[in-house]
Amino acid sequence: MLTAVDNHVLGEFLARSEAAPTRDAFLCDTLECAARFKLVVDKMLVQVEEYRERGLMGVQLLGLEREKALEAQADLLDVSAGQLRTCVALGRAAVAGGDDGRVCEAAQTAKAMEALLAVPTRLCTGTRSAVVCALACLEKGTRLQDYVVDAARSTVTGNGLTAFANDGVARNVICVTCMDGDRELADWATLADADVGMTVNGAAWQVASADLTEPGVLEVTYVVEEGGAEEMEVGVSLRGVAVSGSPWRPHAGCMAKGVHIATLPLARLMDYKGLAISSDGSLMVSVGLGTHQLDVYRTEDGSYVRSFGDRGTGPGEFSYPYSVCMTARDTVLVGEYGNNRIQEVTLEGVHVMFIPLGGPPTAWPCMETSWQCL
Amino acid sequence: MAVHGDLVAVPVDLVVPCIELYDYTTRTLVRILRIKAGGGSICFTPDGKHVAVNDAESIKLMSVDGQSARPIGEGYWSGVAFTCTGDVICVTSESVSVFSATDGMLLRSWTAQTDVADTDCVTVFSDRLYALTHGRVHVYQ
Repeated sequence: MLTAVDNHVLGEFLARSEAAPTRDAFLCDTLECAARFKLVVDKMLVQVEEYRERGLMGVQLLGLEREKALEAQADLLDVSAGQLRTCVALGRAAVAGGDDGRVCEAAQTAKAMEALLAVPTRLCTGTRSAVVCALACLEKGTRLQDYVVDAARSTVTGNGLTAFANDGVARNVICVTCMDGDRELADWATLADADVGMTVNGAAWQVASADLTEPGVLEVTYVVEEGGAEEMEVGVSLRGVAVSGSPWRPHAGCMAKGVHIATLPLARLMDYKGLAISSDGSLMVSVGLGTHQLDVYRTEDGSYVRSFGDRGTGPGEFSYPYSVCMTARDTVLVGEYGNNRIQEVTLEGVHVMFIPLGGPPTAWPCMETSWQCL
Repeated sequence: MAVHGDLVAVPVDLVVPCIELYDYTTRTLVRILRIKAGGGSICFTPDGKHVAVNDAESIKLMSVDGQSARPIGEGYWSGVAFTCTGDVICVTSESVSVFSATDGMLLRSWTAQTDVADTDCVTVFSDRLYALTHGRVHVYQ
């Protein structure tokens, strides 16, 4: 039911964006409308739940939602041009000034926009970069609406895993990520194998399997010849609608699937700085900025092993440690903000040496012509 | 901070954001590579010839001799690491993306755990990615 409301209001503000006199107005319109629309929908959801609790029947419920939908449209039409411009100015100033608080404020709006308009995550990854992306679209004169159309609420976000099976063929997997939250997922849950099609280098290709492996992610497995072309143009379609067109390469490297396999809670602190793994993979170390200590945990299960160090300037003592890394000798380098140095210690806490920071530079290369030497 | 062989790379985000490269053996500063901003996360390529660091606009892949630099992965990234095959892993509050170090092409991307928020503490060991945030380490394979 809400999908119909969604489409109606979405169409309304896309129409408004077409009529926007400037690109700024268009972006603001999109952001502001999306945010306002989300608020309206949130309120509607709450009210629908209330009505359900009161035992109202379906016909009455539908009538009330239709009424709320009309209110939502009226809300959108009330957005003033001044408010819209302020929105873009806020985002730009926040990004330019590096003001995280204001970036977050603007990003919340962009976040709502991203969720509703399904801007592909590969273009807008991360909360803050959602704002950067939106502004980049604006700067390039690209209308966000184009992405809405292209994305079609779905996009291929990754290619992965070339696993060589016993029969001597390579099975490739393409992950198609649902971009529109639970609503799209519910639709996908009804997908039959026949709904998923794919092409390789423009030719129809057999899909070995298509599985919903986690919320919002469809994995499409297909078979290619072992030792075949390293680059292939692969496309996936859902019920005849193409959702990709970019070249994806088979990849046999590590972390091919990006599967989350464990969460290891660290017992002593919530605010660690830095993370390093011992050469045999059994231990991980991190430092506490406020505790001035280095803590050691087991990688297997996250269990606590030991801590060492104390606040100070001597060997084995730390002052505001903020980063760690592991050397090839399996010792730990600890960056200390308070002592302005790097200290090398063993995994048992034995001091090895200091490297003082802040010495005179011997070279200040400007990396490339497009960079400014500050 | 990152180390490869005798070279230690330290991101410095004070008046002039930069990467300081120190010689482990002589304990001296050998070179400074300038960046635009950020620099909270840094790592060496598996061959030690480049460092990757986050700045405000992308991950910058810079040669340690200071002769070249190019962006990988447009946008804001809080953490960076390399896979065992030399691809660039970029982490944000919401996703983990892997880019080709050769041509910058997005190879794959997946949604991060919800509390992997702006972590710059990411590291790779063997075939696993460890991302630290809020007292938890999330492990991906």
